[in-house]
Parts: sequence; structure tokens; C-alpha cells
Amino acid sequence: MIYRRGLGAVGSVGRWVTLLLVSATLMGCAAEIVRMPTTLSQADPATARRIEIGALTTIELASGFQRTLLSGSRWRQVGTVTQGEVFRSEDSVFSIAGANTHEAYLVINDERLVGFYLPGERAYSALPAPLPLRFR
Amino acid sequence: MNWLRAFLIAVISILATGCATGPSFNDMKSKMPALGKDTGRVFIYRDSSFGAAMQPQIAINGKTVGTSRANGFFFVDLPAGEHRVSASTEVERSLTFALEGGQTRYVRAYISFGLVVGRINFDLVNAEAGEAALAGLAYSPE
Repeated sequence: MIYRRGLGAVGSVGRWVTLLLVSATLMGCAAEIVRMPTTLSQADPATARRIEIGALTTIELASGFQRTLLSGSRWRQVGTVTQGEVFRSEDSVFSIAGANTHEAYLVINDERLVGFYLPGERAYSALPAPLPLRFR
Repeated sequence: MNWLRAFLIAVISILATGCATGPSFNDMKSKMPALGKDTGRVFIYRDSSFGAAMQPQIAINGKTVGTSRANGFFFVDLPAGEHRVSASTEVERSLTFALEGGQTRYVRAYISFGLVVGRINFDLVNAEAGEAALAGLAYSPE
């Protein structure tokens, strides 16, 4: 009985250690953001569109991370890429994360968020599926 | 209760080891050089004591520019353009961003759990959050 209790205690500790190691490993193994080079055509500041997000919007990234667009957050068009119009946050900073972190601008096509322009890399990263947005 | 006192002293000593010491952000502010029109400033800071013993070197575009210490900050003036901040602990982590002339950016570094040792991570934060965090930190450039 004492022997079995001892084994049980070791098993319990072992389970916790294993769980801790697996959790730590998984936390460090976030997928890298998939991106491709692109060219931003600059918008004319005089005619650039401004948008305001109409409802809190949660974005599920392919890396497994989430990002949130706050209701009322304001974005200004800075240009265009092949995939759509590119909007930069006017009142904050925005980034996306996988294994690493990347400053990101929204790429919007037909009132749907289709991906992100990464200004620090001149690259585009697509969302797994376009996400409809509501504007004010 | 002597053992409790000794234990608390040991814990505080461990937490304090590796924390940055130096002038405050407010003391430093007036001494910082003005930015040129084609130059921006990047503050890199760590506002937590967690993982204080870890002091990874920080690189920008592959060149070492400072050391990340708990409760410390430093800044780097860079030409406008695309930049990549990185550091290695048990894995390398990076942050990419664009910098405009005259612009100031705030990069928060923090330590998270790792498999063997902690891992460094970076967040790009807005000016309001960045300046609020810097107010309580010590300038620690080396």
C-alpha cells in the first residue's frame, strides 16, 4: 500500500512536470506568420479614405493568436496593394503575432478584411478567410 | 520567524538581481538629443521584474544596440525606414516595424516561460502606454 501510494505521488508529480513542459513547449512553438513580398502604392493624403470600425471585431490569425479591432478605432488609408486598400491605425499601433511580432496595417477589399500589410517588411500576410467589417 | 525573514530576504534578493539601475526617464528626457528630420527614435524597455536574471542583448537589424534589463530602458536613434528588433534566449524572437523621420516608437520587451529558460518577446506599444511605462524605469544602455 505504501509502495503504491509512493508510486502514485511520483506519477502525480510526473504528470504535472510533463504538463508544464508540454505547455512551455507549445507556448514557444507558435507558427510563424506566412507572408509574401508586395509593393505598396502610396495614397494621395488629400484624397485618402478614413474609416471607423463600427463594432468590436475579433480576428483569428492563422498562427493561432487573436487580435481585436476596437469599436470606434480610426484608420487612414495609406495606399493600395494588389489584395486591397491599406489602412493604418490613426489612434494606436497595431501588430500581428506568431513566432514573431510584426507591425501591421489592415488590407480591406469590398468591406472585408482580407489580410495585413507589414510595413517593416514590405510584405503581405493573408487572413485564413476574409472577415466582414462594419464601419460607422 | 527568523527563517521567514531569511526566506523573504532571499526572494527579494533574487528578484532584485539583474534589475536596471540608472537615471530615470524624466531625468534623461532633457538630455536626449533632438531628432533630425530623417531620423526616428526607438525606446526599448522592460517593465517587469519577471525573469530579471535574464539580460539578453538586443539587436536592431542584426547589430547589437543594448542589453534588456528588468525595469530598465534605453533608446536608439535610427534612420527612417524598416527595422527589425531581435534578441535570443533559448529561441530568437523579433519585431518588425516602420519608422518615420521625427517619429518615436516604443518597444516593450518581456520574458515568458520557456522550456529550459525564459523566452524574450516584443510588443509594439502606442506612445501613451510607452511613455507611461518609461516614467517608472531606469536608463540602462549597456
